[in-house]
Amino acid sequence: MIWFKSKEHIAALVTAGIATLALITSFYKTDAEVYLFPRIAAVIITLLAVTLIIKVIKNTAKTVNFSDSLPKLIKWKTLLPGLAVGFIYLFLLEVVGFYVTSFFAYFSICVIYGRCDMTNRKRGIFKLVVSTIFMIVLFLLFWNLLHVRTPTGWLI
Amino acid sequence: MEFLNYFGNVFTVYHMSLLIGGTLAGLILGALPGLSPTMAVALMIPFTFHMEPAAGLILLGAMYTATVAGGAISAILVNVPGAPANIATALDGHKLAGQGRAAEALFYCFTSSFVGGIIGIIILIFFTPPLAKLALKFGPTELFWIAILGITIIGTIGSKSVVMGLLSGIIGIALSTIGANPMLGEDRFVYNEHLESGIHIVAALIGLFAIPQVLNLIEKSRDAKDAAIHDLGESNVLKAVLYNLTRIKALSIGSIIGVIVGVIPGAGGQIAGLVAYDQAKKLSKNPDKFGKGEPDGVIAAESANNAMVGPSLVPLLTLSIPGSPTAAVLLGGLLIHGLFPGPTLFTEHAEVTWTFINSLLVAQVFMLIIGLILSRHSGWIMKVPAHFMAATIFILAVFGTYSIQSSYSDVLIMATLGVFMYFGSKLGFSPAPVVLGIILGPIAEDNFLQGKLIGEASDGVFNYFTSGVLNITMITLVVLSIGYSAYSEAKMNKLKQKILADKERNNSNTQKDNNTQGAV
Repeated sequence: MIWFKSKEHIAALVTAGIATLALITSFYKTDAEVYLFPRIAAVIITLLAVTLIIKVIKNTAKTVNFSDSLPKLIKWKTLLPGLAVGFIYLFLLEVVGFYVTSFFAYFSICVIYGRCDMTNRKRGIFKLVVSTIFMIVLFLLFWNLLHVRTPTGWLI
Repeated sequence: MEFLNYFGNVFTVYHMSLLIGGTLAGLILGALPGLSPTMAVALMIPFTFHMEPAAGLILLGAMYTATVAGGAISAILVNVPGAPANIATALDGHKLAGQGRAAEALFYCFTSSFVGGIIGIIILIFFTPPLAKLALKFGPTELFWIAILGITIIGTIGSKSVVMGLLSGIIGIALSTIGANPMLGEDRFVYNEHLESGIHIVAALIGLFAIPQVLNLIEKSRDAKDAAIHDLGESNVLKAVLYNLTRIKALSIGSIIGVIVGVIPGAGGQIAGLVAYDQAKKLSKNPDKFGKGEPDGVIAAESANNAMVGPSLVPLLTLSIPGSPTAAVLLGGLLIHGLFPGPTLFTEHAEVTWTFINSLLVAQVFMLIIGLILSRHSGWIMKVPAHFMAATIFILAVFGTYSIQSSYSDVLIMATLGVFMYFGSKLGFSPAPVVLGIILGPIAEDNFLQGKLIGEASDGVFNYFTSGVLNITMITLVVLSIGYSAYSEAKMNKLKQKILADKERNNSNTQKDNNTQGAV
């Protein structure tokens, strides 16, 4: 599957997908008057996507670097735990409350991505202290001093 | 000399503390490798939302100026430019650090940034009002073309690939159409309750600039090794500053090039620094010393990237075309405070606008003083671990986005855009054109629909949009920017192919030689 083996090919595929999505959503069962501007944008996106695909096909043998396939461009193993923390954080934000959830998200990122061993107790305490101080500063500054509203749930 | 009437506004305790805070934060954020000035300013926008417009803009302006200068700290100490604008600084700055002259290099850097910055702001003060008056002649069609020109320029000149850059801009425009139609008020693309109010500028700014950096930081956090930080060395501040001020040639080259590049929309500090470095080298009596620790290299590069800051705001404040990606973010900052670029900035909002511009002048002084003090203690900034930065930016991004309209939907949109932009950036899409598309999209659509109505009632829509000197000029500029960028890209590709072919030829020759030797 040559189309998944280089950054340029994947970009061309993605833009083709975006163009199709833009065309369908702006032309299918929509009012021409209301959707006039999005339709123009969709047509331009399609033209540019076609240009990109032609360009990629023409240049395949010349300049494409096959060493930068998507699995190599993105370190999924490293990234997935962070994305999971982000997803859970956003989900719990309105249920539990901003400050408490943020504290756990902050601490989790530090523990998962700190360079030392996760079981290193001394480093773990340091991360806990930094996370606590960060949240206390944020709380005092925005909740107490500036009275900025944040999502609240069971807790703050 | 209208600006002098509002100079006193800057010297209130509140504004001065904002200036000092913004400058210090900007210098530290700029010095952290991996955090761009654009992201720093984008992240700060929601915190200015609850301030008076002048105060908010003062904070953003101070951060813009300081982050560009602060990027030199990591460029000099660890050879990793804090921002693209500091790439040229690293060439000689890091070599100076290697000779035990890091503190001296940092002193040069802040002194020349100060000189360049002052010259740039003076250009901003004197060139902006007359240009803004030109915008008085703009009707719906001209405003439509201006919006298109802004997106085209950032998408073409500022991007590595013309097609990808333009695609990014148009995708931004398409995203801006989510929500109500500006004329008829009917909802479009609202497939989910979270999309009902469309995409808020701040959610887009933070999502597109901050979240990809968070993901990049965590991606690199595990395999990042501690960079070797050079010792700052002993150096006399006064001696270094005075020596710097005698390097008039390097300062002039840097400042002039910075001003010219700054006024060109979309070019940015990276180009300013590199062109100034190159010219300073060419015009130097000792070009061989460049790249080996020549102070003039640092002076030219740093005066250029800070001289670019003021002029980059000229097309922004007059025509809403940003001169750099960070200026594009500042446009978002202006709009959320209800300030629309153009002549009204200098009539209806003269006090806010001039206070902001004057504050940029004062910010240069603070940048010099705080920068010189920080130079002596800058080593610790480099030691901040990536996971702490990633966690801090992430939480601030969520908090900042929510605080704008107390909307959970904004947070979800911000996060979604951010994750998509992270994957998009891996494929070659850039965030600046997307952001500009989202910001200028509604302006383009509004004026397009107005122009269409007027055109239908007069001599046709096509004629209405393509007649008149201003319309023709802007269409020509759109075509020229696309044409020029496509030509440059084609030239670059040819060069790439030539290098690849040469490499292959060399490899096959070496193989042949080896085979012959083996046979012998």
